Amino acid sequence: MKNDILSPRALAWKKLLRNKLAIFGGVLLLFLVLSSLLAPWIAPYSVNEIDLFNIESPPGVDHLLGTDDLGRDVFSRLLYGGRVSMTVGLLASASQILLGTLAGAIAGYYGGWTDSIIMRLVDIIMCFPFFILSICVAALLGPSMRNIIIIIAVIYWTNVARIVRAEVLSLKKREFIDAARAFGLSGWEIILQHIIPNVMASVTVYATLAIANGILTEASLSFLGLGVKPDIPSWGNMLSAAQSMRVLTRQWWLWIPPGVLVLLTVLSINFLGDGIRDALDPKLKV
Amino acid sequence: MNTILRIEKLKKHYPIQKGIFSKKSGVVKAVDGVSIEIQRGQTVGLVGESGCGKSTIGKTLLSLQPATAGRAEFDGEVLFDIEKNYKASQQRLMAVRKKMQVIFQDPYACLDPRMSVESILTEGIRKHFHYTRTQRREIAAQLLHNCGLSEESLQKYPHQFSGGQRQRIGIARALSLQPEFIVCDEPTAALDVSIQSQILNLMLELKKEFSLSYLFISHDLQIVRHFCDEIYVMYLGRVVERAQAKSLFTHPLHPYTKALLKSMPDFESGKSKIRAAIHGEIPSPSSPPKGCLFHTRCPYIEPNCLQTQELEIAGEGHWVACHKYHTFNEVVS
Repeated sequence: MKNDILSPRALAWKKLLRNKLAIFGGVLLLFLVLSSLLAPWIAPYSVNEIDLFNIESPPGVDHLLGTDDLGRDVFSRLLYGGRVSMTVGLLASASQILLGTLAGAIAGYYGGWTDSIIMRLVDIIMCFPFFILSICVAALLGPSMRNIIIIIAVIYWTNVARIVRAEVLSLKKREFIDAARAFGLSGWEIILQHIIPNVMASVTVYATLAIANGILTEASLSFLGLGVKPDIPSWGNMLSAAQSMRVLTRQWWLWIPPGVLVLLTVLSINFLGDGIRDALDPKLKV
Repeated sequence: MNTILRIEKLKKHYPIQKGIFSKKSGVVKAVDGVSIEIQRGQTVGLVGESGCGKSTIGKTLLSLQPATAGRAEFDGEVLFDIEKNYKASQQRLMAVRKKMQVIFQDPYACLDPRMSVESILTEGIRKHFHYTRTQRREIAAQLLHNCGLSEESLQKYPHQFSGGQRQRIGIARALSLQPEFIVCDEPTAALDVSIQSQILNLMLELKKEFSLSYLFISHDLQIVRHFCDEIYVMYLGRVVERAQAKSLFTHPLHPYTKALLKSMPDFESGKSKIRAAIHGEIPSPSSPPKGCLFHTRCPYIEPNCLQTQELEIAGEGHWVACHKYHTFNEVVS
C-alpha cells in the first residue's frame, strides 16, 4: 500500500478527471450554464424588447439569430430561456431525488407493511399516463414553472424509490448494519448514516439523467402550451413556434437553435452522468 | 454472581411463507431449545456444520432478531423471557449493548465502505458517551494501538486494508464501548491460516487485558480446541454435546462429535489417515427427522433412537444427548 490516503470521494474525482468524454460534457455544460446565468450582460436585447422594423427577419448583423413574429431577438431569448430550462431540470431532479431516496430507503430498510404501502403507491403512480396527468394539473393550477417542477417531481420520484429500495435490500444484509444495530443505533440513524451514503453513488448518476429528463419534459410541456407562460422565454416555448408549417419550412432560425441547445445540454449532462457512474464504480480501476 | 450469560431453552423458528397472501406453509427450526451458560472470563465455543443455527443464537442474543421462545439473562439483566412475555426495554437494552458487542465473520462486509476508520471506531462512542471530538479521536487511536494498527489508519478507508487488518478494525470497533462480553461470529473463517493465528492471539491478549468473556462461534474444531474453555456441539438447531475442551477432544461421546473429530485433518501424527466423513446430507431444518436428529446419519442407529433424547450428564462437566453413548467405548475401540 502506497502512501495514498484517498477517500472514496477523492478517488472518484481522480477517475472522473481522466474520463475525456465526461470532461467534454462538463465543460460544455459549464459553458451553457454560464451563458444563461450571465444572460443580462451577454444578451444584446432584453427579453421582450420588440423591434417593429425587423419582424421575422433572418439572422443578420442587427439580430444574431434573427427575430420572431413579434420582432423579439431570438439570441437574447435563447440565453434567458436556458435559465428556465435548467432551473426546471435542476429543481425537479433535486426534489424527486430527495423524495425517492427517502421513500426507497424507508421501504427497503423497514420492509413489511411500510414497504408494501410505499411500493404499491409507487406502482399506482407509475400507472398514470404522464401527459394526461400533467395536462390536468396544468389546467387546474395554470401553467407555470413551479407547477412543472411539482408535476415532474411527483411523477418521477417513483423511479428513484425503486432503484434505492433494491439497493437497500442488499445493503441491509451486510454486517456493518448489524454492527450499527449492536451499537444501539435507531433505524433512522442507520438510514441517515449508513444507508443513504451507500446508495448515493447510484442516486448521483440517476440525478444527472433526471436533470436531462427534466429539461426535455419542460420542453415538451411548453411545446404543448402546458409549460411556462408564452411571454417568459424557455427553450420549449421557443420550439413551440415550430408548430406552424410556415415557421418549420421557412424560418429555421426560430426552432433549430433552441432544439440544438436542448440537445447539447442533455447530451453534455448524459456524458457527465456516465462519467460519474464510472468514477463511482469501485470495480472499475483508474 | 459469576455467570455472565445464561440462555435457557432458546428457540428461533422462521416461518416459511408461500404465495401472495403469505400463507404460513411451514417452519424452519433454526434454533430449537438451546441452553448455554457462560461464566465470567470464560471462552465458550459453539461448533457445528453451517446451517446448524449457531450464528442465529448470536444474533438473537444481540437482540438483532427476536427469539421465538426461551429466556436469556445477561449480567443479571433479563434480555427476554418469551414465556413470561417480557422483553427488555430500549433503555435497558442500550445499557446491555454497551457491555455486549460482536465481531463478525466477513471482514469485507463488516465495515461501512463509505466511512473512515475514525468514524467507524467512534460510532458507538458518539451514541453512548459524551466526549469531545479530540477525546473520541484519542480513544480511537488507543483502540487501534491495542489491536496492532497504527494511528495513521484513522484517516484511511476500509478498502485500503487487507482482510486481516480489517478484522482488527472490526475487533477494535467491538472494543470501543469497553464491553465485558463479545459474541465472535466465526471471526477467522474468512481469513488465511497465517492471519487466523494472529487474530486469535490478538483476541487472547485482549481477553486478558480487558477481562472479556467470549462466545466463540465457529465450524473449525482445530481453532476451538485451543481457544475455548468449554465447547457446545450443535446439530440441526440443538446441542448434542457439551463438555470442557480437553474432555471433548479426548473422550467425545456423541457419534456426531466423534465423526466431526475424525473428519478433522490430523496434523500432529503426520499420518494421512482415511477421513471418516459423515455419510449423507444434513437434513433440512424445515423437516427435521423424528427422535434423535442425528439418527439418519448415525452409524450406531437402533430402534429407540427414534425417541427424543435430551442432554444428560455423562461425566464431570460433560453432557451428551445420545441414547447409547455408554456402549460406545466397546464399539469404537
